[in-house]
Amino acid sequence: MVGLAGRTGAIAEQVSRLELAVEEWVVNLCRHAYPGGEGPIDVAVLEGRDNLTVEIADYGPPFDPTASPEPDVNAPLAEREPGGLGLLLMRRMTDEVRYRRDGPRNVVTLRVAYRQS
Amino acid sequence: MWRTEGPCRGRGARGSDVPRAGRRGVRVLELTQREERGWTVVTVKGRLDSATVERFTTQCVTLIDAGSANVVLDLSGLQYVSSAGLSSILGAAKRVQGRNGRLAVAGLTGLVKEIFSISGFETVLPTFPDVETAITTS
Repeated sequence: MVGLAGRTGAIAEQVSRLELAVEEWVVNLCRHAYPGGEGPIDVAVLEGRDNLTVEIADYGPPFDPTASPEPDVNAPLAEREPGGLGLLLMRRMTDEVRYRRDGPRNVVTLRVAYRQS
Repeated sequence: MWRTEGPCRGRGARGSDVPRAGRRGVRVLELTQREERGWTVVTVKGRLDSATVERFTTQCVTLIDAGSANVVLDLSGLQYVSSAGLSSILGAAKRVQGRNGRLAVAGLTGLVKEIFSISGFETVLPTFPDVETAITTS
């Protein structure tokens, strides 16, 4: 994805959005996918004619990020807690988030469509 | 496709392979700090993400615990912020508020501004178009 950062304009912004979504999910996996241990994370990047897709797979316990509730972004400062923002941003920065369980793997697919500037 | 072995390790994982500064700008964090008319202005440039947030957090904790009661974050040069960065800013705001101080944010632009809006931070934190307005208006 860093290699795609050389693009300009509307495509560059979409790549930045997808990069953020990928970071949010990968960091989440680093923290939670393998409690007390280590494990692999598989990442695949696919560029279509008018979209960019990243597929991220882990071998941890089943977890569907599309089913998680979002934090209350209207709560006042004193009631705001730091958690939950990662999944919120992952959803809002992309055009599509899909989850499937594939045998022993959780597979999360993130996609952004290229916009015309 | 590539595979990382172990959480946040291996080739391609951010923790061990932080990209160098490239043509599109810095991919690291630049922090500077100054005192201006009773305010501590912290200028944050580059990227505030899981790889760089620790340094930002440390700087905020240090200056707040040293007695800075009025803090404004100049984010006009911030190009990228993830939830890790947002959480750290939230923590700094709560920390200074716990000492009866205040934290303002200035210079939000582009995607960073959108991220602040999505996360509701534009309503829970005082935000201003620039540092000068933050200092003279607050």
